[in-house]
Amino acid sequence: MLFNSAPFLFAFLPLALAGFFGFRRVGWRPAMAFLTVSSIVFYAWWNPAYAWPLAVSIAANFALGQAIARTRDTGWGGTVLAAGIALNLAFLGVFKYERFFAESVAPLLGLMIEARGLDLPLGVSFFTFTQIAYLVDVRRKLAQDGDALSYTLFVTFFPHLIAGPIIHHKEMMPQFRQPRRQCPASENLVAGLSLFAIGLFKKAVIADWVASYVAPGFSAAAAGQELSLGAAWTCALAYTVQIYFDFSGYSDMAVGLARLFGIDLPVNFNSPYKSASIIEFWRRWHMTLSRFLRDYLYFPLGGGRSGPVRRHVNLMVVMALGGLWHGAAWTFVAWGCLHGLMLVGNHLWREVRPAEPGRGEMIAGWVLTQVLVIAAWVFFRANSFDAALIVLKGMAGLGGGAAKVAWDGLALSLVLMAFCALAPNSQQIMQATGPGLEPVDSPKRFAWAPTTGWAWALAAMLAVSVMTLWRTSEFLYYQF
Amino acid sequence: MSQPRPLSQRRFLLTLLGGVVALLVLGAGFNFMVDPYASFRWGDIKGFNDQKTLRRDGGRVNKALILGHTQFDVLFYGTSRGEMGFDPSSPALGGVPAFNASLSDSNMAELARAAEYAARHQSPRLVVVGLDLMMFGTRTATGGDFERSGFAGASPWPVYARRLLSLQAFDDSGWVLFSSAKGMRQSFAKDGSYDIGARKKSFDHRAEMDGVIRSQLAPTKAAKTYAGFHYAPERMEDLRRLLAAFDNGRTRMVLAITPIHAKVLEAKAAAGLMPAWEQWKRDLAATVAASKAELWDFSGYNAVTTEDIPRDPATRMRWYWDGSHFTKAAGDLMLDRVLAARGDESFGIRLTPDNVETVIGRIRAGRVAYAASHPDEVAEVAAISRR
Repeated sequence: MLFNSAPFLFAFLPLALAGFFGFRRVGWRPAMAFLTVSSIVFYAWWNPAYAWPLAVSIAANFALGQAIARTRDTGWGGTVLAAGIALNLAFLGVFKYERFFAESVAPLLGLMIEARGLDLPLGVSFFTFTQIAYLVDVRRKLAQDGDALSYTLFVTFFPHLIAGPIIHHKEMMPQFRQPRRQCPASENLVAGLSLFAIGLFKKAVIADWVASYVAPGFSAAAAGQELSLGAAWTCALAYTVQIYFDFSGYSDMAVGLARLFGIDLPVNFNSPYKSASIIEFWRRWHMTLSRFLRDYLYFPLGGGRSGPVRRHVNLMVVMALGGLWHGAAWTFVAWGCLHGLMLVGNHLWREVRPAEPGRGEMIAGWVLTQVLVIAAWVFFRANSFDAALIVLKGMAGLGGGAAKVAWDGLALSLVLMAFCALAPNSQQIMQATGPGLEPVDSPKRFAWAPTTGWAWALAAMLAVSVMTLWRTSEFLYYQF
Repeated sequence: MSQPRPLSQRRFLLTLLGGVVALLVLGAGFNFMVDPYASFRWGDIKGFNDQKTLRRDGGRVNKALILGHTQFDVLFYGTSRGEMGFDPSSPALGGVPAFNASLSDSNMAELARAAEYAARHQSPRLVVVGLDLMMFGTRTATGGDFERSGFAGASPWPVYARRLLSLQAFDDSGWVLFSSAKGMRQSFAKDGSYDIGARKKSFDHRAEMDGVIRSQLAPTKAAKTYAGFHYAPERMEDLRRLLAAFDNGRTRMVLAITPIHAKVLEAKAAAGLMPAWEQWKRDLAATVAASKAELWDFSGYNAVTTEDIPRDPATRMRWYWDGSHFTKAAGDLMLDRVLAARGDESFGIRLTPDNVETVIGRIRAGRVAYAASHPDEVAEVAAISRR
């Protein structure tokens, strides 16, 4: 079920809220049980067959968590954890990377393997990473759950299940046992609904609007047609804007939906296109994935503790795997490696020039960062290296071709980029309601307040979004 | 400056949710009033909402809805050729209510279903069907939004809801208001015809024609192209269904083989389709002879189909857009020939089983003469087909 679909908005969500508040009167545990069942219905709605891999994954990881907790002070602790992580990676590999391995990796190794082409269960990357983090945290004595119901809710809670944010057991379980927000339901409804309205508008109106300028250029490139300077920049910029409004819109909706039930999720975006360096970009983009890769991959690899060379190698490994996590294709690996190289370059630059940058340098850094990010997105979006190189060639002014330049799309993308760079983000706008788990800066302008003006502004955003539900489109991150 | 007074949580929620409902009702009222796709038939006001659009990507749903609620004396059928070439305002019709029910990118199987639907709601005096070989291939799939339309038996109520409560309709309402105020004709007008000239100010006919020939001859298995096409005589059964739909004793049925430009006919020949094309005509003549309909052939070689293709992009062709799609001017000539018997049989001849071989022979001879008089055009087609 999609957040931007009529069945979700007009049937599932009202029923889930009504049921939750009804059971909440009986007690928190019945309410948890109801939310768990609702979340499983939400997940299985798309394809009931997907529920089995999810159930197997939850049952296995719950048992592994128990085993790790029992053995963590013995010599077996590390072995059980390693087995648990290996099982999760194997699970992900079977569903997500089997075809990639058979068709792209095995031939390089001289092997002939026939891909079975299993269906990819929705959100498999997200719920697998969530549970790997849980197993590591159990080993580190940061988490432990002996209650199957609360563990199942932790994994399946529908606002985050399919496309994140990637959550930690230690930050969620206290809330699942006792909600952090001990405020009246109406306060949670106001805060959650307001943030949800902003997120839905970002996805259903802005991202889907600008999406129409993305496909023509990338399709032409996929067909081998060269692109002019204008056409290439139009599709690359439009995709840059689309993926931000699509995924950050989804994340806003997720945080807003969780808040309707009195639960706080971590925020996932903090105006990434305001970044003046790639290091800053990764602190602001898909923050829960960055946190996961840092805490459960970069640090265990040694982080920056073993000298600059090792740190740069670690960064490259983390970013290459981060790219592969997004999709089973070499173009995603290339995207990850490009960001790895940019991060290494950024760290080296900081060593050469450790002083605080001036205003001019900040502006130059911002322009350079955006150009590099936009260029890297081309590999993320293109379905082959050939297509990506055609777009990049066009962006460099070396293309030609008959593909039309959509000047309105170029202007729209530039306006939206400027908006991303200058306007406060969703959680800053909603600062007065305390959105998400972390404290948020208050904006100088556009701060939400429970006034008639804001109620009508959000009503307009919701009404316009509802009028787009006829052409419900999937979220880009569903495929990752 | 004083801050606005905060609302209570409950009041804020009520304002927000009430606001959503109020704004949706307002939006629906606006769409109903402008009625951008002629869905609600409450009338057009000149300068306000008379320039309605059927939207190309929603055309089948809109056409089915209009055919379901408005009566017409004349209906046109065909593919995009019929949609672009047959003008419901043609002088030859004498101002009677007419509608272009053609479906772009269609085939006989789909058209037969659409015609059966129309015949349940309409009693036209004249039905004109534009025919070309490509409609009689192996492809029978419906196109566009056919399955969501009344043609496929879908209920109109979701369509009405969508026409009231969609952002697209809201956007199109604005466009209709603007176009009507400025007197700008919509390219996909409410009479069902598509006028590419209303959308494109300049038109490089030679480039367009070369584009059509290239795409039709590109090595592919796609049944939509000349290179991948296979004639399927069983489509005649679909034609019989279409004829039977209007076999009510009141409707005159005219089938017209559309006038393909000589250069594009060369491309068809280069794809090896001439034997199929000729056999198709024989089958058509036999099928139509068994009904009360008339069959007219506008293909072949004459002043229309051999019109010079300008090398200057600023020069407009009179009869063609791209060699496959003829202009409304050419469509008017066809209607004049059929309805008023004006012109001679070099452009438009009644085809029967008795004269079909003669006509085929005449066209073969015409092709030889065209090759002699236009060697450069024929050579260009041959060069494209060799790639």
